Amino acid sequence: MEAKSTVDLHEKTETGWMRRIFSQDHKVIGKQYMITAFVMAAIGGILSILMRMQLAWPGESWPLLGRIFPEGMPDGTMTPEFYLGLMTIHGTVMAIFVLTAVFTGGFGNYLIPLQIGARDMAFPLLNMLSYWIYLLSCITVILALFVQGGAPISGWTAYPPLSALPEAGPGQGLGQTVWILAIALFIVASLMGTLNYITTIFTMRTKGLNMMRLPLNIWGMLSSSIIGLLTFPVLLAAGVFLLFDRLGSSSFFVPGNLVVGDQLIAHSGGNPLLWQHLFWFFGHPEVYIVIVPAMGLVAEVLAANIRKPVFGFRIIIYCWISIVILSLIVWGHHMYVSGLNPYVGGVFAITTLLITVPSAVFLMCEVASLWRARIRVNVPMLFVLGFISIFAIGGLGGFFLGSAWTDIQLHDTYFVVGHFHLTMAMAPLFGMFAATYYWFPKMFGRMMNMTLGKIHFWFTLIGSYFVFLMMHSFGLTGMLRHNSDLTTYDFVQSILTANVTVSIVSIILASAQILFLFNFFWSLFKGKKEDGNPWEANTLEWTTQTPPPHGNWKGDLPEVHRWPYDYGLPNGEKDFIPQNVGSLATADPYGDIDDQ
Amino acid sequence: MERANKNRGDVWFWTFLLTLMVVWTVWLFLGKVWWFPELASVHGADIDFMFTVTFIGVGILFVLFHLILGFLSVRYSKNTEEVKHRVDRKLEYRVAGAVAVVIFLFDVTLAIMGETAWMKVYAESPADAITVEVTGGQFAWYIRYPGDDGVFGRTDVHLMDSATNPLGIDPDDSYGNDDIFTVGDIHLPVDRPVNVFLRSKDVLHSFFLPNQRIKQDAVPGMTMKVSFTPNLAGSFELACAQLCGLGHYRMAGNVTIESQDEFATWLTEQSID
Amino acid sequence: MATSAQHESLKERSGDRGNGYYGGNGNFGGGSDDAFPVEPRRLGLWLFLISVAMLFSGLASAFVVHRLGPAWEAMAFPGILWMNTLVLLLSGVTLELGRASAKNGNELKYKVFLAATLVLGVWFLVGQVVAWSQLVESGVYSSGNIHGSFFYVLTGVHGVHLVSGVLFLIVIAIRAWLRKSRDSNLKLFKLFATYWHFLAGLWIVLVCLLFAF
Repeated sequence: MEAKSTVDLHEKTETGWMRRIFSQDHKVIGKQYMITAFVMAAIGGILSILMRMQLAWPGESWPLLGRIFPEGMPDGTMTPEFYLGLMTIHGTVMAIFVLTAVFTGGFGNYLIPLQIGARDMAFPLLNMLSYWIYLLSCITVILALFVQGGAPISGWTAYPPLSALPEAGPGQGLGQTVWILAIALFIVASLMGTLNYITTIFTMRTKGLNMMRLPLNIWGMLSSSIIGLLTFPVLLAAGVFLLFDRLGSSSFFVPGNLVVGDQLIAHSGGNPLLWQHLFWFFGHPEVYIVIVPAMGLVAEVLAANIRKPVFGFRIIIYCWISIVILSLIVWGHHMYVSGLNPYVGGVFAITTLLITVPSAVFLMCEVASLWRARIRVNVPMLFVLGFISIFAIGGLGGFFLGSAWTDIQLHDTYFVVGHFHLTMAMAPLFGMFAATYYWFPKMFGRMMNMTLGKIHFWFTLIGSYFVFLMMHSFGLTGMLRHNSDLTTYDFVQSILTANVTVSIVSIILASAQILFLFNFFWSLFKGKKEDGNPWEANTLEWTTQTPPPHGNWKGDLPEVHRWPYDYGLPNGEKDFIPQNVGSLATADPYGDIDDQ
Repeated sequence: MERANKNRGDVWFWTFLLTLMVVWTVWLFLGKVWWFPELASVHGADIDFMFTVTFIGVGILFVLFHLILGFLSVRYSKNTEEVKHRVDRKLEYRVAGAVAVVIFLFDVTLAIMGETAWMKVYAESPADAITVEVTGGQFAWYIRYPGDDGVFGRTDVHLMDSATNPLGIDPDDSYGNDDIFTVGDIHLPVDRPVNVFLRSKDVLHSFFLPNQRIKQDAVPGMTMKVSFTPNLAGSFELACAQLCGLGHYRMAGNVTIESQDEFATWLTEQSID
Repeated sequence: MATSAQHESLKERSGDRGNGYYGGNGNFGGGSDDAFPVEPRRLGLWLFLISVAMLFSGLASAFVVHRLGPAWEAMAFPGILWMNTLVLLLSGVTLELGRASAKNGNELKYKVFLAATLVLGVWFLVGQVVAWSQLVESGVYSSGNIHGSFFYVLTGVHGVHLVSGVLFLIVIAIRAWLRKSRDSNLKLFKLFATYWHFLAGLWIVLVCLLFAF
């Protein structure tokens, strides 16, 4: 038969190693994105351990580290500029190169075609290019640590004039330029991805899968991609200006008559606040680029483990749509004390307070989903519960920072550090862990070790609570971020002892992630084999074989007959009805019949 | 299914941790283990009051949310419920609406009270306010008082020299003769409004007086006005809160709030130097 | 590319149910009634145009901030821009003429107009470079007057996009000469036309912003 011969041809083309590495298959690209992001996360984690060592024991000598970083840690003692360089690269790597990449790039790539019943992405070549440019950007950003003068010291927000003037500090020369290039490359990679994800979700859905039958995960990916599409180009515009200021001596951001180190700077008429507006127009939505797909993954894992329909399926979707819109008009809350007109600040305070409503309603839907459920407590579900608590705590801290009046005191203190680590670092990471434990069997045909997974969970949960809640508390004393040595001020003396404990716990927290990495790579080869539907889930990716073949389904694409959350319905001996089952009466409460 | 039952221990441990975390956090904030530095300005009382209001609201939401989360996790992992498919769209909209309304009302309360406090912070200062110019530079605060004539002398960037003349004060300008200049040392009389004119000679800095509840970035190319009234005498700290380079962590200064007489004496001493 | 063989095979395999892999065979996307009836490449292009529009909004907002700022000094209008603008608009006309002749099946005219568009596009780019060199001669550098800096950045970023448009056109021209499948080439040509008109419109907006705002 003809069909058979084409399958043979396809098997043949899959074998060459070149083809495997430079694959246009979304599943391979998704795994590549994911594993690269894990490696970047490990690097970012190591940088944070170095930072925490300096914060706990400033001026302490670590001879072994001195040999690894002879310039940054001469005699093993960390220089302030090396600390700030570590901080810049840690922030940039974690926020952008790990969390932005792993959700849409990693899980989005892998799951979008599988969950919408498509053979692949709409533009497989673009998808492949996206990954390779992303890899290049990762290498470039790490390179910034090792160039002449060291890493840039201006933080991931890179406020000019510090970031625009090579004279302003070590690392502000080549290091900062390399950093801008890395960001620009990432933006290109990310835009290639978002074009693909949105197009694929809109045009490649299989028969029966209308928008309101899409799994929440796909809605999360879609919302995140739309925010990325709208905001990343603005960061690119800011980057172009900054590069021009640095290399072309223009004055977009650098005002006149600056004297740096007794040297008169030959710029005139620039506006430093302009960068902050452009940066935060991207920078705040970036939080939602990261958290919304994490919410989606969490909602998906939760749905399969409560054995009943999720609470407020449509409400959750409306929440995300309002988050997409509101996220574009709240950026000013990063600038309350930066010289923004107080009236403008007052308006941004109101928009910022408004965005708490959809976030709170989403969390309420997740919690209410547990009501009258039959919760299966497994490792992915534990991470989901952790996500809910951690994101709630982070979000509640947002009330203080979103309010201009209370932000005056807390701005740039450790309260902010604790807050954003909970909301946009730990909460998304919990989502990422939940998703990894959950989809690992689909991706690799094996289960991860769940005992190790549990140990990993308890360490991560306790560590996150302790470290970041303590940081909130420290921030009240006025303890300032970006300080390589905390002993300068009297007003933070009271925290210094407790700060050592926080450092120790945070180093344990970071080290505990080795458990996860070990589990991941060990299970690739030694994990228990699993080729079915271990979580008894309804979404389409579980209807194909494991691991899915090139083209995702061997024969015809599945047809969808119901929404994704028909759990708790009798189906023979089972309590769930996958989306592609048509013979049973549908209980789809959001189906078309209901709408008419 | 047995699956859930097998892992009941995990749920109990999870709920135990949740409780522990809630109790510990409440102790951390209610017990004021680490708290704001002593309040020392008039407008700071409004800010601190807003903190109290926000803490009460957020605290209630925090405890309530975790109570519900912990209770539901334990209650519904028991696995004795019969399999039932329940979707009640009306209920969903009602519950979501209720939560949205509660959060929205909390937001509105914060906004109305907060915006009032915010406008007070940025209110026009009275005419008799003392004038101080604070200039941030890598990595020190340069302080200038206009002296008896109330006018600052001219400055010129070409005269700037970090060792001898960090602000580039023009010696030919007679207005500058009575100006008082210090590095990182601010003196202010208690209970008298002050206008700080904030500038920067190189990169962004941030003028942070933790006790006075003041934080304002110094933006190069702009002059920011910060007004406040210190109402507690004593010795306080000035910190730089905006990343300004490798010496950011040590860009500190002193603020001495003293009686009007002591302040006058200090000014005289300074002008003799 | 070897990988295209894979996709070719997939296309055949999925063809039995009418869900074309690329949507190139008349069935868009997944080919199902529940997917939006848009050709994926067209949607992708429009999304790309949105991101380009956002990029230029970012650039333009910075221009507005500086234009309304205290330190604004206007630079003289470079006369050569009249010609460049005319050339770019003309290229839009030849593009449309080309599309019309392709519709009427006049292969030769189609190719001639394609070539004319290409020549005009390159002419515009050369004109932009001439504008830059004239500015440099008259003492307008990327440093100094901020209006000049904005001119270089905005025309530069626009130029980069136009170069990509020209490359796109070259690909289409080569395919036209190689007599590649006429239908698919015409589809590419239509995508190109959208992109090219967008860039021409963007150019008008930029010129107005730079010199008439």
